[in-house]
Amino acid sequence: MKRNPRFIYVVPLGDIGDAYLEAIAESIEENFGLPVRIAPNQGIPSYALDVARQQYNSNLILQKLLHQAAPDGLKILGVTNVDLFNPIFSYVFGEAQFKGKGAVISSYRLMGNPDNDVRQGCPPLISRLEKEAIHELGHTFGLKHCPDPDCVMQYSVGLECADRKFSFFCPACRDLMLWHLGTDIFLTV
Amino acid sequence: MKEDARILVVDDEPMVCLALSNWLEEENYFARAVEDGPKAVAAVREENWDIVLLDLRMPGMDGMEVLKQLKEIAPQTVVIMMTAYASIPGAVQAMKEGAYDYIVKPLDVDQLTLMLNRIVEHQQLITENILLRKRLTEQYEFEDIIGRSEPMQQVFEMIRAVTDTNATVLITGETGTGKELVARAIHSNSPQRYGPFVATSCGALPDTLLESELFGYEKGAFTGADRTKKGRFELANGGTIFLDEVGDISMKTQIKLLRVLQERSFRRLGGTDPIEIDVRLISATNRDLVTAIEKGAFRSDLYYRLNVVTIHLPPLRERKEDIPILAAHFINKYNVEFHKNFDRVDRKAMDFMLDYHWPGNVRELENVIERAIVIDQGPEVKIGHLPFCNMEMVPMEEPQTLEEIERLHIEKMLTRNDWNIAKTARLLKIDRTTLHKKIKKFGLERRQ
Repeated sequence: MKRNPRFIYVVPLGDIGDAYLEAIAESIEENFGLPVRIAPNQGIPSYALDVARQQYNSNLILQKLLHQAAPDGLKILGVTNVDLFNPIFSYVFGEAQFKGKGAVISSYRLMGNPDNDVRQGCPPLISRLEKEAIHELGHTFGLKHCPDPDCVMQYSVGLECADRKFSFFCPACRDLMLWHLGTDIFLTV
Repeated sequence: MKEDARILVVDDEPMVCLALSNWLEEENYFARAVEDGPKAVAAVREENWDIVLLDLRMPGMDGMEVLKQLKEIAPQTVVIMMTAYASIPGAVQAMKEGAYDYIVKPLDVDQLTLMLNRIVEHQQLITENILLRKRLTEQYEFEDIIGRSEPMQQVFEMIRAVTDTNATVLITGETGTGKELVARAIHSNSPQRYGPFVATSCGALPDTLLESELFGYEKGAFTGADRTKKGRFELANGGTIFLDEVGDISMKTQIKLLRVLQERSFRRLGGTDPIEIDVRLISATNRDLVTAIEKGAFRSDLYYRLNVVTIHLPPLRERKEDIPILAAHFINKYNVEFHKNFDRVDRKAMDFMLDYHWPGNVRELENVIERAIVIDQGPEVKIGHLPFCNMEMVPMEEPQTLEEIERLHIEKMLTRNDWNIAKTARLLKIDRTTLHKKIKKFGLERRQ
């Protein structure tokens, strides 16, 4: 019997601590109201390494995540610590399939200045990862960038902006997300 | 406002096209990508774009050549060159040719975001400025519609009232009153203005052809459908569809149209999947739809759907005070087109124009002025240029003899040339003395 996709899978890819993954999972459950499963760690996505750039192609990671997706997975979020790029941008914090199934985020650029303590894993990195996870998953539900500076769907120019916004949706984006969520589940059942 | 900004991506790498247009969509822009120069030029010819992100190095027509053509077709469109580090001098050269700025690939997402935000804000200011100036200086004009008369001022008010809404509009009026101009004016001032404006004349097409024209068809839907074709509704998505002569459509097509208006979706002929559309509908008719409903030729439910807001355009004979400014407008228009120097309408000609009933309305007036400017050098539009004057002067009975024809022809030519003997003689290819003799012989006199 076919199983309805209803879980959001968090897939660790490399050196990401359990505390981060649990915090991300909790935040996703809170924001989307869907159960989250943390998959086994798949290790560094070496298949996506661009030797010339010494960065990892987020598109290739997304492709592989989708290829390996569990049948009951409604959305899949890859979480890695490597530096991501896509074919057009010099780097990305994360990338999502707009109205699609997969997203990937990285802690690499979210650590900010290596001289400060966040590299050691103090709360700002957890908070940034949570926001980035909700933001990219929001895109998979068809949400676009929001002009509300507090909303998690606002596009942040730099980490300072990212730190200023909240890790949840503004009322308008939340309504839109719930509407998309209903449509999404309805279509995939 | 950001949703209104339309961005065209031009890059020969499909991955760049896809990734960049996806990102722009996420950023709330309307984006489309094309993979070569000729397609970019065609896209800019077909639609308005606020910003073009243009790759400098492309096979065939390169970015520099595309830039030159874009600047000729749409000088107001902002072009940002995308370039690799090695081609920065080329990008700098492009800025001398009119590019707004350049950005190095791979792109810095923050830099691109700030650049686009800055351009959109700047363009909004320019648009607001233009609109304000227009309102101040051109109170008798709305887009290409001219009129100082009370009925036309009311029409302008109605247009302004509906532009900010998405309301369905029905424009009524006799043929030649400018219904399509009103539809275009509403579109170009509405939130849909960056979307396409697709006009269809429903009366010009037979029923079956109209259906496939409006809704499109799937490959194999009927004999001859060798490919899938998008209909006018699909082409107008995100913009405005203008259905002219809507009173002429058959009952069958009326039902389909009603369904589109109710459900905001339709199926192509031979298709099974519903296609959702976001289109503003403006329709027009020169028929009395209420009478058509009474006779059972038009569905009342469709009428009420189309007729959310009605704008009635008065016939020209009911707004004769607009004739002088309309004539001046068309003189200016055709002076430019035909490189002539007409500057006025002769007083007598204007009297005739004000007396005439203008069955073809503004379109007929425009044709009269155009014809005068084409056939003569100016500087005045005279009685002889007015075809309806000549028609009225021609006797009802056809002339029988050569002499009668000669008399009528000489009289017509004299009138047309405002009794300028030398000019008329030259055109008749006779000398002035002969012309004088003939005037005397036929007893011709200049009418006052």
